[in-house]
Amino acid sequence: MRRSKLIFLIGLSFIATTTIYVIFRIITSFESIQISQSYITDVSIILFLLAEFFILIQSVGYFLNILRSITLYKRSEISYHDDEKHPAVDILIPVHDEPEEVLLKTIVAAQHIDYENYRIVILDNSSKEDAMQRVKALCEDRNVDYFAVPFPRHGAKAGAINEYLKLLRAPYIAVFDSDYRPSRDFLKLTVPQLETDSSLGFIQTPQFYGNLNEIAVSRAAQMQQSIFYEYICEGKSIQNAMIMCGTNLLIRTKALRSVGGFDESSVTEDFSTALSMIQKGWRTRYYNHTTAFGDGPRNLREFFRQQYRWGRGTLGKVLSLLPQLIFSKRFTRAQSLEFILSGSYYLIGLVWMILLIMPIVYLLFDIPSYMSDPVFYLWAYTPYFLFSMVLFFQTLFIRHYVPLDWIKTQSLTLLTVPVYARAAIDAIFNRKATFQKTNKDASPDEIPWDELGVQIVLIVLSVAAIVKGSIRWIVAGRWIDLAIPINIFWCGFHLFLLVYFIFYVYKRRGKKSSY
Amino acid sequence: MSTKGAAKNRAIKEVIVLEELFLDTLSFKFGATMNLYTFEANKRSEIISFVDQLKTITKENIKLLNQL
Repeated sequence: MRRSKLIFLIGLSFIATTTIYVIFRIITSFESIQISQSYITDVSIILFLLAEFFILIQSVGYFLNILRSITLYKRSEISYHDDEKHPAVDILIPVHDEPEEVLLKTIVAAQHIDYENYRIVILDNSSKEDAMQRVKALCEDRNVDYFAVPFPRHGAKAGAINEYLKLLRAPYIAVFDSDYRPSRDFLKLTVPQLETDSSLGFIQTPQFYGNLNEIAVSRAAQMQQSIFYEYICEGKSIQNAMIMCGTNLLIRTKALRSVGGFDESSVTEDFSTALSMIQKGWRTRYYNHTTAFGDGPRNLREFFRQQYRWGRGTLGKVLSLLPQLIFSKRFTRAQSLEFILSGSYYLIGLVWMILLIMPIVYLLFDIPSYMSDPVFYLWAYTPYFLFSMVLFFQTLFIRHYVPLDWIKTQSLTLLTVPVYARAAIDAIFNRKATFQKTNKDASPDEIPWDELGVQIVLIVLSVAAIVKGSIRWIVAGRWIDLAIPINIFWCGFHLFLLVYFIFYVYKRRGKKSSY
Repeated sequence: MSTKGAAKNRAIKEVIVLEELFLDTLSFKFGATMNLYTFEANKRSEIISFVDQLKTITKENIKLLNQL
């Protein structure tokens, strides 16, 4: 049986079991509220229902993108021949106090790009005078153009590109972060696509972390990225709803100018600017060919910082655009749905907080999330859970990913839940966020205990809940009450995921890869 | 230093930079490939051994170039 057919069948089973579970949950929640005797229980029932529905909607969105990716995505394979005319491209590398040795490798890699008509421009946004002098000297030594972003500065990376945009003459710009080394074929593969389709505003290519050998966080973060770049982006591209991801992309200058340059008001200027381009009628494309390698977050602190910025920026933008996404005719229904799903994904922190707390609350305080016969629950939940797992792992197998890495990824996600929750609250209340760049020198061995307060409280509460639940179940002789072991199981599962990644980082401290 | 000597020094520096970039690119690509994707165990060890050989030779080259 062909893989796409297998995925389709598993997907259909997933939808069928999901539907059964949704019906079960609606009925049990309705009945639970009717027999509930306190407002706290009512709130608990409603919150848990909403959290589960959120997960269900995101899962269905993920499945639809997988389906589109497998059945409809076709990578464009146009490339230049040597005798063809090559339009000018400016390769922009924004820098901000980055170590010279990192920048040097990026410049050298860019200088070896196989394309006739391009120049490399370093956009220097460094804060220190001596750092600017060093970057300038490096540019002179390597014979690449140096552009000092003028004062007063604004808008971080977006502002730097916008300042350069005032002088720009080339029809295309490629953007690379200072630690992303482009491959030789980047321009030969991407420029013809913009040349042959004048409605295309930009092409985004994947981001792969090169330091995942030695950095534990980078490895788990890469798995998260892979799911995004392997399936979700292909699905988005088919619906003309691809967004910019900050680096490894080629942009049509005219398209960027048509929206007034990069959006400087958002900490995720790439996402925001892509939405503006789509609103203006530009088409967007994802080209699934790895054309650059960069460095992933070096430790948990850096990862938390990155995820906070992405969550705050993306959710904030989608919330501010929500009326337009729902009512404007400038977005198709499919595009609106994609952007709402992408932005609302970052509510995952609040949702997981509910899912993590509910079993604890039940075991410690006897407040249920809903009331039903545990046997019915198992009958309704188990098929849904199994098919969602089979579907997910099948998608990993198709592209030869190591399924065990999913545990690291899931553990990292759970550890980041408080960060996502803070980002969501800040986005909902429109609290100001500043652009914080990734620290390229951060120690990979650091465990940021000062940022793990909420996680530690959750770990302690989970242990307490498991102990108390076990006593209730075993000592008090409530053998028939299956609700207790079910909640102990969930507490244990969450506890395992919350501590696993901390141990994994701890164990890998100081270790170097063998290859 | 003569012009020829300066040019030679510059060429050596350039080769070191390129060798380091080669090492980086190799580590990046194979690191990502070996860590993310599944392989048969014997193929996996073959690839690791091959890459290790390339990396060792390149590191030796860089060491020698730095002595010039």
